[in-house]
Amino acid sequence: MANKRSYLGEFEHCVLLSILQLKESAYGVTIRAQLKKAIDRDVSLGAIYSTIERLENKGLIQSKKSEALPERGGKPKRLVKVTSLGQKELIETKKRMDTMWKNVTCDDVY
Amino acid sequence: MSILTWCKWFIRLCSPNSFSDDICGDLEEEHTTISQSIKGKSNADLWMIQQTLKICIHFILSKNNLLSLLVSVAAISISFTMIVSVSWLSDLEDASVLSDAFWQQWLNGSTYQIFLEPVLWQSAPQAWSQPVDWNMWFYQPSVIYALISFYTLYKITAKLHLSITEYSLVSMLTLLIPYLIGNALFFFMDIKMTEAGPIVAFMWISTLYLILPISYQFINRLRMSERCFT
Repeated sequence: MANKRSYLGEFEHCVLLSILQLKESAYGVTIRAQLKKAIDRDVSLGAIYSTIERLENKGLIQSKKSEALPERGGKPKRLVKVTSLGQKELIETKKRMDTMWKNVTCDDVY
Repeated sequence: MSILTWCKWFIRLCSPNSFSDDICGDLEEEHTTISQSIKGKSNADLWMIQQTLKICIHFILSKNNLLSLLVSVAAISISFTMIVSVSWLSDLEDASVLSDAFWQQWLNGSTYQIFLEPVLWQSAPQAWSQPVDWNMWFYQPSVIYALISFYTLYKITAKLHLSITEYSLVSMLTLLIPYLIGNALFFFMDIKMTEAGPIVAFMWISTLYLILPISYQFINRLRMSERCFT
């Protein structure tokens, strides 16, 4: 029987960790800046919002709108935060990664 | 209109409604920040154009859009090929323009070989200049099959809540059934050339009736399904 459970993709993993690090101020602009600063990955807002939508559908994050801001053309920010299910999924993903990396050093990769 | 307005218009056109406002707001915020920095407005506009292109390419080349495009192109091409072939065959006065080997394959059920015949594509434009006989396109068994199968497909989809993959498999089967029936008749029965016409008409015209509505429904379902194949 096929394993129907969905696992975190690499980019989803990075976005979730960025949201955790940004705490209350996580939204498109800050997540993009965080990814650039932390892992030097320059991604488009389209990729970020597609991932946010997918993570929200999976119940791993939830979003709320801030008040409308003039510097954003009168549009609100879509602030996101990791849910308890998202935290659990991150911990399980980390455990799986740690297990896979156990007894493998960087020298073994080359 | 300013570059910012143009870019926002393009983004709204390409991105899903659910978050196009969020993207536009984020871009406008970053654009304002860059404009007010030492880089200035022209650099901010350049940055805005780059980001807009990246975002639009991301959504245009998304899996669902590419799949929709592929299905549309395939459905239109198959319909066009069938219309050309049926029109040309119905106006064919001299069967000898096609080789004996071709007609032998035809009677073995390999009717698709006609699509590969150069003579079809060379003389098809002449067939198009002839007056259209609309009755030719109304073939009763195909109409009955198309109506029953489309209704059944609609009911099955609504009742069983088929996934996109399941729906595409059932649709493919619905489209292929007339072709499979025709092939089975050619394979198991000794069909004469004069009897082949109605069988081929059922094989092709049923598919022709169904391919566009089924493809349209498939694309609609694909667009509605936000988590397709994930």
